[in-house]
Amino acid sequence: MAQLDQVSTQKEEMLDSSSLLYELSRDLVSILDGYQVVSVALSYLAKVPDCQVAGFLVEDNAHPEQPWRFTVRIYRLGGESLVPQLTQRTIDAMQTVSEHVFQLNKVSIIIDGERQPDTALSQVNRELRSFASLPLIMRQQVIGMVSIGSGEKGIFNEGVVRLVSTIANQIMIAISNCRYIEQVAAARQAERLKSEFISNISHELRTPLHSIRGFTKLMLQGKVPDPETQKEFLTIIDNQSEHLGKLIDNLLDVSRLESGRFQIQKRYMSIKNTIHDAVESFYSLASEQGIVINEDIPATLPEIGVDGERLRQVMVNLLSNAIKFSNDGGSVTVKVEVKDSELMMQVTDHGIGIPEEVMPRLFERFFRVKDSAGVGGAGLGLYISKQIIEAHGGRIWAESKAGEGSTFSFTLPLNQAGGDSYG
Amino acid sequence: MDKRILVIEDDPSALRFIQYTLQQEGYRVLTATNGLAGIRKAQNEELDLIVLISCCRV
Repeated sequence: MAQLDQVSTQKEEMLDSSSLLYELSRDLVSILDGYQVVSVALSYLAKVPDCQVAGFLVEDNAHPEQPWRFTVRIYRLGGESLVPQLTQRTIDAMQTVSEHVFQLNKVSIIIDGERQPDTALSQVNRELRSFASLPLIMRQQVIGMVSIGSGEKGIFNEGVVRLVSTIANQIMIAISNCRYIEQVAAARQAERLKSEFISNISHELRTPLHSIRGFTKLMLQGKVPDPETQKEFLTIIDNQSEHLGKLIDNLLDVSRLESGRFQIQKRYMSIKNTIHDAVESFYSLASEQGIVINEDIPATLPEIGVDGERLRQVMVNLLSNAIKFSNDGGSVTVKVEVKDSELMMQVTDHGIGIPEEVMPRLFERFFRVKDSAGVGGAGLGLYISKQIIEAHGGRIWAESKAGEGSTFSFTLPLNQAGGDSYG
Repeated sequence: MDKRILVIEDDPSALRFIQYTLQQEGYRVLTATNGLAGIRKAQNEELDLIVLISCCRV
């Protein structure tokens, strides 16, 4: 009789497990986001018999600058009421154990608080007596852990572990799908930006070229007899050639950056003149548009190790943007200050501002603010500026309010530390 | 009386080129570098023709 009961219990458990896995796989199929996979999977782990707490250790894809950072998420299943005795200390300890198991790179570890007191679980306080940590394996590499715990000892039997392992595999497939989708989306986005860039750059190159050819032809055909007008047109040709040259320089910089051949040549110098020259070069353009340039620059500045020509390039870029996006009759402020161990420079305009949603992408290669009042640009200036400042060990960022204006700031370290070597 | 043309173009050097060329043909040319300024001029002046050069990217 007892044997029959056992068989029937086993059958029930199997049925429960298979319906749980069926529902899990059904739910996971439609998810495209890795974080959502984790939360759905946790809600299913909550249904595993006797499992009171579950956690995840997964790669954090949301931070591309640190693709191998690991995030541990420990969840109390069913909230506080289900496991009232579970303290923050237990949760912290479970996180530590998950990380420990992950580092061991073991296939699975099942610990019973009573039987193995000398294991890593000794860090877990007495409330958590059973613990299992299973690896998430993708292409023979452990990329994360799924952990379950309970306040009762010795309850994670083979059946439970097999169930959690199957859930872990399902999660793995779902996460792997999400990553694939993310990669495809990123590749498409990069492709789209590149083709937009080619279209923009053709326009940007053609506009000055049209002017140069147009005015040259007028003069060659003898249609400009007045010497003053001749001088005016020659000045336009000169300016447009210079503009074209800068565009080509930017393209070459991007090509150097792409191939890792971009270098800065730092030397100790007083940057006061560099700053002043850059600002002064905008006096005439600003006054043509009735824009006032306010300068808030200390009388003395320390000598710092910079590539003067590259610093000038960054300033020219920020100033020309500030003037380009200012309304006629507005003002642009250049502020320089020495703070702690760095020099900070800010260029503020009171122009059209930048929509909040595009702020995070401002310094991306090829990125342009769409429909920005008909103002052109190749989407290279801020990208190159960021690379220059970062090569100096500094930071660059923007703050803006649509309709009110923008402030672009950058820092340069006062000492050599943090920057590239002199070269 | 000379025919009056308003040319709207955002690139100042292209605008100057068009202005000069049309002037050589005997037209009186008014200019604006953006749509809003163009509308203001169109409202205040008697015009025979408005040339709006819209930016095309291919």
